[in-house]
Amino acid sequence: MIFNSNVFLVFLAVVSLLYWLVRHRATRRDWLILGASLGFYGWWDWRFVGLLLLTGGVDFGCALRIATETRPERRRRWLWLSLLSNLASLGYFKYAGFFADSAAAALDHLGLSAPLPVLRVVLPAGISFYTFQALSYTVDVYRGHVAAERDPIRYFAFLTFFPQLVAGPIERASFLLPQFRQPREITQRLMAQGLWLIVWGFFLKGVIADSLAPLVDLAFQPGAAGGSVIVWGTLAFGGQIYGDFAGYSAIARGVANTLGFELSANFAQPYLAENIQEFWRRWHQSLSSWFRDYVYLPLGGDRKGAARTFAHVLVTFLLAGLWHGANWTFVVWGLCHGVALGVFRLWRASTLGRGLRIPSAVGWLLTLSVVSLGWLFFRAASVGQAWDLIRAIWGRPSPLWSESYALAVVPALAAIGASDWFQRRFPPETVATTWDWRWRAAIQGGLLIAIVTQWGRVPPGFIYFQF
Amino acid sequence: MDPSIRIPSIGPEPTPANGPSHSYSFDRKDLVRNLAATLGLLLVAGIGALGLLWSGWAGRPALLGDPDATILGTKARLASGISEARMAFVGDSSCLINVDIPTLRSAGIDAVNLGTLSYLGIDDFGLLAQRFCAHHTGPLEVVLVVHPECLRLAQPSARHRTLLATALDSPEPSWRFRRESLAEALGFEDLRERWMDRVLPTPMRGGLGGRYGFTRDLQRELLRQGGTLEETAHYDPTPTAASVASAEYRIAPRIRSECQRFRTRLPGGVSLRLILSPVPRSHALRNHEATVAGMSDTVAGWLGAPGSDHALPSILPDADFGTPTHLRPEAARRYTRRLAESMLSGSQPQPPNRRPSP
Repeated sequence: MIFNSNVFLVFLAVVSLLYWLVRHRATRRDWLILGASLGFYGWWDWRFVGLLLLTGGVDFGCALRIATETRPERRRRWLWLSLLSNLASLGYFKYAGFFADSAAAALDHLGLSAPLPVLRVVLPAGISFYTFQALSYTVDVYRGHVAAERDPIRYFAFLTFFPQLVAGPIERASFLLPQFRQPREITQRLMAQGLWLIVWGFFLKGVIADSLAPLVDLAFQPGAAGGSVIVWGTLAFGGQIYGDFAGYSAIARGVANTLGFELSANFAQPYLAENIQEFWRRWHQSLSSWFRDYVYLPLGGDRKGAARTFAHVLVTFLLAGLWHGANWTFVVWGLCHGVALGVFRLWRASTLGRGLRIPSAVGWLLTLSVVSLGWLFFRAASVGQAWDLIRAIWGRPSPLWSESYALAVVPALAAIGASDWFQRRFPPETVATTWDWRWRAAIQGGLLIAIVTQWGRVPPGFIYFQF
Repeated sequence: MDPSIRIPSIGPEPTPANGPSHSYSFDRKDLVRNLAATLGLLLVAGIGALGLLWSGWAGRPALLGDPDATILGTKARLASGISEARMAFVGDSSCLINVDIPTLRSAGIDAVNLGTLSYLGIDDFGLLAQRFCAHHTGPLEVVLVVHPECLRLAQPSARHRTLLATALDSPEPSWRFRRESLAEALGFEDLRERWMDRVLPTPMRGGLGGRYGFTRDLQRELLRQGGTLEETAHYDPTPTAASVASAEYRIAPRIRSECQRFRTRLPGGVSLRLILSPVPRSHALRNHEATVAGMSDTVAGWLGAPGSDHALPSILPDADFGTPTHLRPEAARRYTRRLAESMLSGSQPQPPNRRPSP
């Protein structure tokens, strides 16, 4: 099921009504959330509900064994079982075809054609998100950061919680699981904030991202564009993916709020960042903190000298790139960010870097350039197409319609800037707790008019669903 | 053991089944007021939009919302514009793409291409021809160019007919209440077509997008090229069951009355010519030329026009095509040169000698 579809609106209304009806029985709430979440997921393809329950079940069992086992080697063995089951599922469904194809291409290149099996596996929606959430649960139980859950219904309600099941935020068990263990109180702040976030999220997705989508398609159509259109198109994609994903995250948070739950904020005006490190503190925060805590720091973080730190950053971002999808374009995207962040850290540690202050505007422009270069690879169908596009910036004249292109992109990018400024100035919590209902309703009504006008003009879907 | 590892524990016992799971402590009045005002604002905006549309104050649609609307709007402008043209080509998309006006002009024939991309009937093409004749003087000629496929298509699209009526500034109000979506029912969709489409460029998808980009650029190019559009696709001649079946051309019963209505729209003294567009060799059945000649004679008879023009080919090599009905730009120019030669040599099509029933 997809948020920006009519069926989801009906689903949400029904779930909210049932949620109100079961408020007196804690176990019924968890059953309802689990049932609704499996229905939400199964609406897309019911066959993968089994996979979700199977991998989740292995983690549930492993976590309990880790918690009850006192011998370290036994605990480690259960942890490895959990890690392997998650990574095997992710590896098979997401990467098997990619690695088989890449190996075949490499052998071909060397003149050693080998009859490797061709794998075409349907990718279960949100597998990267729920697998990472499940992984962090068993690791955190192993580390003693969270107590293992003994109630399977509660555990699965936590793992499959429908607002964030298919595209995050990737929640830590230490943050979300305790919320399932406590009675929830749907306060004035949560309800007002929830509605505000839902409307705001639909605006970001339905109005901004979906307006940019056909423009991005146009710029990335093979052979169609050149010159300035590719630059504008790449900026447009940066806006589209932000509106799409930040919109999804806002709706997810808003829906969770109306059920009495808090989810982590995933974005904090990332395009206002003045360096690449700051960008990663503002962009897809739940994923970047996941990689920091479960990959970068275990590798050694910045404790083993400059060269090792650079290598750790690079490895972390290469894996983050691969997490997004089984394509070399994502690996190059990760490489771009890894190198940029590694260089930034070396610069900051150097004498020159400590003494010289880079003006904010220069830092912002540099950051935006690196991020946009990454987006170009991220959006391209292949690394070859990305290089063609880069070459076409100088090598191919702008098409006759380049003026119209800029005219169409600029208002949407300006809307993103205005939206970020507004959200920084008036965070949802502030709006929900301090604003008069008239102001909230006036802005929500205005956004709703724009949402309704755009509703259904682009086929429903979110970019991050494919990951 | 890693010192950072703390001894794990097991979570609390499952909550008793009879304990409360959640409670609602928000201000219900605030929620109701907030929701009612938000939705109320939407409703008020909708009523305002419908009022503007109903009164006509919202203006006419910009006809730039999609390629169909853009092409029809531009063709209406070309038909109504003052020009030296004495000849108008009207018809389906094969007319729009296969008849290259710059080639005709370089051959000394001043003409406009009023072909469309939309699913319209032959009598609808007559409306554009009628508009052309009303705005131009002198000995005028109208050439109806249709693909054999066009003669057996199902009913024309009601939406495209409405667009044509809007493009031609028909006296009846061009706004009708629509309710296929909430945006339509509240009038937002119509306001967007009237206001936003004038301000924000509308991108196009596919090959048309790659070549022309935005509808406003398509409009500009159409005006510059006298109404001709370039095909960007490459034809794949691999035969499929559908393509084989679709090569069996025939005339739909409705064509007869449409042709008669088409004729009545043209003033007396305007000469009329019919051309059936060529098909790819791989798409043509063995008796294609004879079939098409027969169809051409029949339709020409209903139109009161001369029959088949044997100077023009009814089959061309696959490589000339972008789609089964559209020629690639170079082939369209070659085809138009033959058309110009045929016109300039004064070779008139043979009068129809057969009248087979449809």
